[in-house]
This record gives sequence, structure tokens and C-alpha cells, in this order.
Amino acid sequence: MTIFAFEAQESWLQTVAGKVCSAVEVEEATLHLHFGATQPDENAMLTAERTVSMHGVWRIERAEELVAGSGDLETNGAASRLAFITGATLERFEVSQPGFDLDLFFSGQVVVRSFPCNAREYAEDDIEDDTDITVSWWIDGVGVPDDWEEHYDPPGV
Amino acid sequence: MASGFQTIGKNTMTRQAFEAQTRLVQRLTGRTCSQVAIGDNDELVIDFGELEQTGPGEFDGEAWLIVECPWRLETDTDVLCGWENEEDEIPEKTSVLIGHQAGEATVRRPGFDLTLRFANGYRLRVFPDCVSYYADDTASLSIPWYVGGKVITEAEKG
Repeated sequence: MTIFAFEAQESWLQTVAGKVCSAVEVEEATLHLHFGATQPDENAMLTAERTVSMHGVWRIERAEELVAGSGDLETNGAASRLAFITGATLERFEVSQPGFDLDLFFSGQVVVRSFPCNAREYAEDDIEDDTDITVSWWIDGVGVPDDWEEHYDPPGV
Repeated sequence: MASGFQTIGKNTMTRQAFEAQTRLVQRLTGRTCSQVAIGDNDELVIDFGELEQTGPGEFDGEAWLIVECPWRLETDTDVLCGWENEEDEIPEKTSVLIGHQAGEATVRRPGFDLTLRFANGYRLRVFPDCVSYYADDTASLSIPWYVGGKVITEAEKG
């Protein structure tokens, strides 16, 4: 089921490719990359046309430089440190199996990598409680349903 | 092999340390995994070769790999376990490596991501996620994965 969730998220990535990053936020262990028009929500966090979020283990590279990593990035001031991504275009993405590693390749030789490393994320069994579905990265935005499982037809079904 | 951070001397560059480890990790190729454990600081410890008792209930291999950052054990098609799994699940899951030879070790820069393949089709993926590892001017440096053991000489460690 959680693999199903990853596959559903992967299906939305195509809608982000080619878009320009408009803002970056860091919320505790989660990195949010916003694309398109943004506006603040009731919690003063941004919502956007598209948002790619990474939770857990991630790293940002620029050419041969390591810019930021989830292991030692302090939330305070992180967004300003990562502001250089704003204005960069998401040129392409790669999702690698079996781990659903996500690599986002931006203009300016910027690469943002997510490294899922909890085997629970790869459970194929049915999960009774939706809160047990865990993925390390996901897509939000206009037209992206929260109840994605109601709107996704997995391949071969 | 139980160990804490490997601290490298003042003014030593972590990139040099990573490059040295990139060379040393090749020494694991062809060696048989003899023990896998989680250390006192939650590090993953993989021993290779004949085990030698170093203390009450403690054994070191002739060579060892210690991983103190995110990792994942996988095949081409499945993920077996990883850094964020419950600690008590990991020893049983990682025991699939015991008795099998390490194969090719590859390191991807600039992050020094390590992939260590095993003869039974499993591979260990290591993903350092702290930028401070790569600082060139830190007084006290630590690196998130490293190899050691009696098969590696002091000269090789540099």
C-alpha cells in the first residue's frame, strides 16, 4: 500500500517538471519546494500551485558543493540559506527503484535528493489505518487531491 | 566492532578523509561478512573475516565498516531495512549478509554516497546527510562511514 502511495506521488511529478521554484521553506525535518504562485495558509506556511515536500533524509548539492543536508540543517535561517534555489527551473527528475529515491535536477547545477530509509515505506500489505501510510516525499498543489488514493489508478489494475 | 565517531586530527580536511576512505573501502571486496550489529551510538557495524574476541562478549572482524549516517539494505527489487527502522528489527534483517562476500564498492561524489554490493545480491546504500562532514576547516572532524581493522595498516590509513 505504501508503494502504491509512492507510485501515486510519482505520477504527480510530471506536473512539476519545467516549473520555476518560487519559494523554499523548512519545517522541522521537512523541506518544502514551492512552484508557481504562492500564498500563506492559516498557519503562515505557504501553499503553491505545486509543492514538492521531502521528509526525513535529504541533501542539496550545487555542482561539486554540498549546500545543505537534513542531518545538520537548523530550521532557523534555513530558508534564507536555501533561497538560491528560488528562480531555478526544475529541468528533470529521477525516481530510482527499489527505494523510490527522488532526485530533482534544477537549472544552475542544483540537485535536491531524497533518500527514503524506512522499510515500512515499502510495505505492500493492505494497511487498515490511512495514517500508517508513510512516504518520504510527496506532491501538493492545485488540483492534487488530498485523498489521492481515490483518484489514482495503479498500472495493471 | 563497537566504536564511536572517528575523530580526525585538527586541520585535517574531511574531503581528504573521505577520499582515503574511498580507497580503503575497496579492501572489503572479496571479504566475507562475519557479523552485523548496531553499536552503542546506533551506528551500523559490519565485520568481515575471522572474528577475534576483544572483550567480554565483544568480537572484531579482520576488517570492518562503520556507518553513522542514513543507510538502506536492498536488492534490485526490494528494500529490506534502513536507518529509520526500529533498532530491534535491524539485526535480524541485516543477518542476510553474514557468510557472503562483499563485492564492488562504489562512491558517488560530491556526497560520498557509498554502495557496497554483496555476492548474494544485496547491496548496502549509504547516504551522508550532514554538510558539516564536508567542511574543509573544521577543527575536529568526523566522517559518517569508515573502514578499519587489522588488515588495514596505519600507513594505509594515512
